[in-house]
Amino acid sequence: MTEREQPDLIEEALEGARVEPDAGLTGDAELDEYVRLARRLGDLADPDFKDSLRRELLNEAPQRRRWSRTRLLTGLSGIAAAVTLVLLLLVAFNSGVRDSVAGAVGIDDGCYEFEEADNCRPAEPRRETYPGSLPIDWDALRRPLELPSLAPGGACPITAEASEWPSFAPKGLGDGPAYAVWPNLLSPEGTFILVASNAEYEGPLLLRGRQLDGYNPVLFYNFGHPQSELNLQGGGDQSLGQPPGWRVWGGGPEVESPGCYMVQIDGTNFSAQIVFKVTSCGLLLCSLSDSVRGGQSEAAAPFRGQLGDFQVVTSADAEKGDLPNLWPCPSGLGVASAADLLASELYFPGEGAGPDGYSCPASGDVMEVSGNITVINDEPAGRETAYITRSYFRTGLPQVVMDVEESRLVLRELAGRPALVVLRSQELSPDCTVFVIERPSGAGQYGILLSISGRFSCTAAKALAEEFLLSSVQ
Amino acid sequence: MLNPEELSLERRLVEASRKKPAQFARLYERYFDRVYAFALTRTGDRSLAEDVTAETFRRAFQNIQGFEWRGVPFSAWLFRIASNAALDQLKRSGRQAAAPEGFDGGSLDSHFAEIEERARLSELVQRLPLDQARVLVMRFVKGLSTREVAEATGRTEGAVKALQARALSHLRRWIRESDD
Repeated sequence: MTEREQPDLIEEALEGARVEPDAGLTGDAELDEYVRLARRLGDLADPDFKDSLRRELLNEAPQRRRWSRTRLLTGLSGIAAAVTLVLLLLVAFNSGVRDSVAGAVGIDDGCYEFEEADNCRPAEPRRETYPGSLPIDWDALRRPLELPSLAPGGACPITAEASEWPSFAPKGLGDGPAYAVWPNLLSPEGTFILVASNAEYEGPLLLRGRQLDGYNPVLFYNFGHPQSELNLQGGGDQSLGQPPGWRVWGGGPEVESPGCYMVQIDGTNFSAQIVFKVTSCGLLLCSLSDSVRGGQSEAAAPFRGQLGDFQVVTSADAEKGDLPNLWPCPSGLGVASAADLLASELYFPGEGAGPDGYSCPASGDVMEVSGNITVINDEPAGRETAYITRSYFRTGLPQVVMDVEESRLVLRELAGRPALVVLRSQELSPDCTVFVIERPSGAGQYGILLSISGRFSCTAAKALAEEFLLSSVQ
Repeated sequence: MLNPEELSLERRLVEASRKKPAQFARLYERYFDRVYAFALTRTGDRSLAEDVTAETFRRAFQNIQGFEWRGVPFSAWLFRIASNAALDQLKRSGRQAAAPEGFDGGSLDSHFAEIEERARLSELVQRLPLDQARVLVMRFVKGLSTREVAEATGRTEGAVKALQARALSHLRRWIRESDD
């Protein structure tokens, strides 16, 4: 095979193997090797998938840029120096420029890095049809989330209101065929948006979302049960006076802390991203605002003082031993196995796991019994470890050690008991922590403070705390 | 099996990721191809393999703070997550596993050899000149025809075939060199 013939012969062999996969190889050793190699290439991951997953995980801006090769070559020396610097940084960061550039190979928006700008055009969206008589293939709708880039501290890129919007609801976000409707007309005190689709689209909708400037998931409540995605089909609620062909559903997304959030609505022939900003939150109720405001400041000094039934102290206070209200350790006890406590009230009652131990620091002021259990829920991670601690206080208010600003501390009531929720923060902690006064002090007995924390939503932490409290009722 | 140097590097990467989530990118780049190859081996389906890979890295990213270094490689932890994720996906889709779950007995070496081979091939593709790598990805990973690749890249079909031939030829030579 000459060098000139090679491309056509290889193509012919590949095409033959593609059309008749079981027909065997060509008999030419070299061509057959290429065919086998091509088949192995078909088992490699799609670089677009790799890139989008990386962006989803790390909240990165797209790596791909529409650079014109011509402009790059004829650019000013300053640009060349900047590019060189970028390349050097890439070498340092990622063990070589190739590794970084290779991640950009593929079709995403029809353009490639270093592609001629004029050749760039958006790729056609995937189009499938779902005849009504066939089951819906939800997996096909579960496309990668297309997360808008958001610089740290940057403004939330709130989705614009629909330009032509029917009068049945005050406003819709997005440009169709699916929209977020705000405010919620069905349940103004709970779910804060609805989902609607216009008459142009009749198929199923799959909703997922996440926070763009933090770790919080977007959950969808199905009869009170949190889910990380929502599947919508059928006619929806037709009682809202919407135009013919429009469908409206409840069960829209709920979040628990302020921030910038995105919900992706995937239909059979489109993907719509709706970005919204939540500016104030309780544990279960958040209010949505369409005004762009700055993110939550983490620069404020940590709160210190009384908050409801709790006394918040900082770690600096704790290091100084300034925790007068905590129950003193029994004399002679140090850090040891908690087996001795099994029969006592101090026993940590976590189901399926015993206590890790208890600790009494040298100061003798603190005593706590701690343990952890694995929690399985419907949040994106699906399985998380919950850290559960019971500590004991002798008089007055239970003290919690938290270096957070006041805006992240929310007072609540759980199972009839005072609770303090520490909302999650991208910069400080991806955990939600719930403190509950399991039993107040007084009448000669010490009080019990229960804390539950883990890298899950505050809704999950709250549910776990309630379950724990109900299961450990004396 | 990782040698002590690789284990040490892996440990540093894990520690860096625990301190700064953005550093997880390095673990991601290091293990992405292997996890995907593992997922494809287990499920035998590209779409399911992508779901499994995504779920694996999501869980790993979210739980890396809880990963305790006890001499067991991070990769072993990662593959355990992948194995569970694959089981979940297979159950959800009602499909049978393409390969048995347990990497036990004689299947262990063959599975990991296959995974390493796919990871190595992916690395070789990334060594190719960008236009050649691009054509291979479009042709064989995305399954486009030569004509479709030509239309998407603004080249002639002849140019695409030539790029394809050069790319395959490079890969063949590199594989032979590394096998020798």
